[in-house]
Amino acid sequence: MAGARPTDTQLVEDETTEADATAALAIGVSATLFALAVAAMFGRITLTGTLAGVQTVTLLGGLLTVLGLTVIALGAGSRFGYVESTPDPSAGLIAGVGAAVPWALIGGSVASETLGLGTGGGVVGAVVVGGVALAATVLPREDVGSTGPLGALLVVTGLVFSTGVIGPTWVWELGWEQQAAITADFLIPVATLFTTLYGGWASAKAYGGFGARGRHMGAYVLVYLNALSIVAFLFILVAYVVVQGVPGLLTGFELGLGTGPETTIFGVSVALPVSIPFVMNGVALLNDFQGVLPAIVGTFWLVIGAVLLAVPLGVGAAVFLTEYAERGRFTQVVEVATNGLWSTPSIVFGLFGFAFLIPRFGNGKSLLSGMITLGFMLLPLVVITSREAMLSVPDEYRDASAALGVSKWQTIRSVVLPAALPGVVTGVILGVGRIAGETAPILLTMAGGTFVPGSQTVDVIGSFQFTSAPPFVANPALLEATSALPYQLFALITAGVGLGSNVSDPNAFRWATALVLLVVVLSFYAIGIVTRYYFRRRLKHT
Amino acid sequence: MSENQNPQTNQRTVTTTAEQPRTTTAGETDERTRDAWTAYDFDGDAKMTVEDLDVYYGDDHALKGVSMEIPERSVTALIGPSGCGKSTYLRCLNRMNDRIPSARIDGSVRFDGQEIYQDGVNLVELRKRVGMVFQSPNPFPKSIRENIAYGPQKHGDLDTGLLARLLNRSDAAERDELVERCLRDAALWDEVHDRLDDNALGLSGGQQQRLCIARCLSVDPEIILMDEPASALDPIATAKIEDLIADLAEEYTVVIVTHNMQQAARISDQTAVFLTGGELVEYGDTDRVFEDPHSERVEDYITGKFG
Amino acid sequence: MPRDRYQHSLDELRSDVLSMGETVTERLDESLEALERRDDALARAVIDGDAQVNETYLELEEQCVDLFALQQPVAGDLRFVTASFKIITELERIGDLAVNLANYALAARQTVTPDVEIDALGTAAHGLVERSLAAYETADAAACRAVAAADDEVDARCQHANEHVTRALIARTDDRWSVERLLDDVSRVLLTIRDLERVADHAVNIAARTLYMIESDPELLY
Repeated sequence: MAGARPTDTQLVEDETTEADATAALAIGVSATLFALAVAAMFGRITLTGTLAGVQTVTLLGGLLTVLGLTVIALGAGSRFGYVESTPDPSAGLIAGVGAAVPWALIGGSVASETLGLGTGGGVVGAVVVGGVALAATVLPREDVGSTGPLGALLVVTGLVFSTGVIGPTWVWELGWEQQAAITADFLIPVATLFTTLYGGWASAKAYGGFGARGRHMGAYVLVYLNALSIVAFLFILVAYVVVQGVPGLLTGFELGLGTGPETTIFGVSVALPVSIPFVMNGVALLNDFQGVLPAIVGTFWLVIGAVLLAVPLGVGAAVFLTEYAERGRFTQVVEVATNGLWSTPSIVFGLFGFAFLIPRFGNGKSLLSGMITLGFMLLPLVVITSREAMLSVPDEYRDASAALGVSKWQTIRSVVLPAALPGVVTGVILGVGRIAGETAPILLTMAGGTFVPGSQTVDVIGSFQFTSAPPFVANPALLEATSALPYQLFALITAGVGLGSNVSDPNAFRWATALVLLVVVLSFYAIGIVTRYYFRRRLKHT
Repeated sequence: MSENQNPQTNQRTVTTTAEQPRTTTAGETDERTRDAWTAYDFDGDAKMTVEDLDVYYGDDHALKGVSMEIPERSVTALIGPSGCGKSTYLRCLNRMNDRIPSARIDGSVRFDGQEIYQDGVNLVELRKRVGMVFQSPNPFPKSIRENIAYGPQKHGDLDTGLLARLLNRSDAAERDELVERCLRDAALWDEVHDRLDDNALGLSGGQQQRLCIARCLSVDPEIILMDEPASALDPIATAKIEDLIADLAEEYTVVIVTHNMQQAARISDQTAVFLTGGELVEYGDTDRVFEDPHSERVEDYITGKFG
Repeated sequence: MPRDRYQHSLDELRSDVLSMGETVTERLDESLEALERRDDALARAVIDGDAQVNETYLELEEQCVDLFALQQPVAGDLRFVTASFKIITELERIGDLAVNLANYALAARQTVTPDVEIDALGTAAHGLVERSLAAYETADAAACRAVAAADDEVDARCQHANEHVTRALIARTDDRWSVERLLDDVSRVLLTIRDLERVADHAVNIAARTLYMIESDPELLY
């Protein structure tokens, strides 16, 4: 690298200096701000309220200002030699563009709105301010370039918030769209989020002493924060559904001997000691509490049926494609077709079921049509993942088996398939997760009977009968229209179908349905993960 | 051939009737000389006879007219520089080259007098009798016991399935006996007898290779083909494999490909030298090949002047 | 133990070398006896037995070359094989010297010069050969050095014996024999003494090679 370094790079670092501590503190502050911004975006904290005794907006602004000043100080400290660091001659183009974009936005909006220069003026302002920011980042040495403009950005934003220039009631009516406006509720958390990411990035670079190590720390902090946000988002989503759904779920909950319904286990009639009407009842006029048991059972059977259809077909197709077919036109066509099938919208599958299956199964909606439709939806993913799994089984196993004189099919059955099983199970898990939540196909092929008074939970196992004509076994339950959870939820939300006076809180009912759907899907995942773990253990060490 | 005893140095020198190795300007040895150098006289029966074997991978002529007789119950080493076709040759002996679509094989390979490259040959039976051990140990991701029982089970000689167990016709005792015998023959029993149900992938490299040898023995072969079996192993594991090979040669016919000449010198009874281009250049007793090779090219290769 | 067969080959080489040594020592013994007792039959047996010694020598040489080519010995094993290789040469020379002594035994008709000392010299040389082979068998470094030390004494005695014979020749007053026969006799005796000294030297060489084999110490080599 060209350019003289003002400070020597030490091989062994001494104890943490104050600069390190400051930089670490700055990273901490930015992480906190990040969390606060996310919380504000989800409405967990309100902008008009107070937080720790201070107005939220003021707090956010203040913290941003402090962070910005710290970043500038860190850059200055390095520049003037108070702190040992190894900065590069320039912060680089990426950092430059990264700093230029927010400044350009500020410049543009200030020019067009605050100064009243209109759109043209806004563009000019954006370009000018952005260009200055770019220059200020790229031209000086790295420690100044990566902290100066960004620090200034933070300070400006912070001051703007804390002095109330943009307060909780600020609104910007955008002239070019009706009803479109950027409110403070949107702007303040989002702006905080992005500027604090910049702040964290700059502080991390300072912590790493700039240069290659600094960029490494910067990237690390950014990636880490983003990964955290994904996890946080997932957690918030699940927690939100749980929190909203639990009251509905537990309506009429009773614990105690004899409170629950009677069930027969191994011929012995036992009353369950717990009663959760939401999952134990269907919808009926005479129920004390309404429940979604039919929907739960429907979803369960749908998944079972789809898996039973898709897995043998899919694994068989994968075996054929990997082991028997020669790589050529035919396999390529199959690959393309499978990928295409996987990308097909679910409503198209529903239409296929509606047009093709329903007329053949009693001309009405039925569980069987739903199973078959969802099975075909699951099929491409099973084929793709099984193929991948089988291709990844090393050829050495096949060679070893062949050298022992074992036939091809036996090799596949005894060596290749068992080794590919974790991959296949992964595919099934992923697929089940998708199809269990699909509404459109169910809507078109299966759904019905939710709120018909007296609707029964479909009883598949108990409905098998013998018939005198081929195929000698029939199951009328499969040909009934029934409910499934996604459909149930859809119906509840959109149609607001009358649940009758037995349901005290319709909103809670909806959330509770959503919660049950989530739980059912997650439990399928859990079963799949445990199964895959089991197969993986068998393949590796005991 | 004539022998002279030099009275001053008391040394014997042996010269062949072909006084100088005849080479063309291109460095190829003419056929008559080559045939003389590769004709190997030995007592006892030939387990495998190869005549004029040519192998093509697409347009690439990988083996050129190789003829060779492999004596039974001994160790035959195939040496030569990389890419000279020795592995290709080995894989012809149990028809493993059939698994490569672009391979074309001309010539004759006779096993116990029977041609293996003709219609009607039962590949399953052939590969039972001619076993193979590969360069990198490749045990199945199953337990040690299952690895060894795999071959006989798939051939139907051992039945330990659920049905057999229910009907009390399970061959579990025979299976365990077979497993013990194979592991003892492969010098692995002492190390693993207490963990036969552990996954085979948990063994060390040398142990895995011996397991592969034990697995190869489980189908009771007559010939064992080994493709650089110790090249992925450390010196101690290699020494154990070499001792094992010497023991195996008392009962089986062993053909081993190795790029390590010293290994070939240590363990083999006769050595065949392939040189670049898929040519078999010399074949004879190991001590003669390493002490006084006929071919100048072989001498250069062995002394490390090329290859 | 790994490399069983190789170890076995090394042990075989050692015992074969010792066996050759035993044979050669026996021949030496017989030739000395033939010399002492004027036993022509015994002398002829020694001369005829030389062909076998040479054949053994060639076999052992081939064994060593095989070991080098096929087993690549290193370290102690390498020193052992190279030492054995050289030692069999020394043994073969001793065998040749035994044949010389047997020839002298055949040629002697009557003794003119006293050969009491010859017996003692012979015994001493024979003893050195045995001791050096014993040192090789047991890998005894101290014994090797002892053999080298003992050789000085043998050299001194040979010198003394030479002087004695020469004096006896000069002091000769008897005219019973012709000059030719006298010269024959004396030169035979002198050659005997010289050959016995050589036997001792070869024994020392054996000990020197053995010491090198044991301790990698070339101190005794020259």
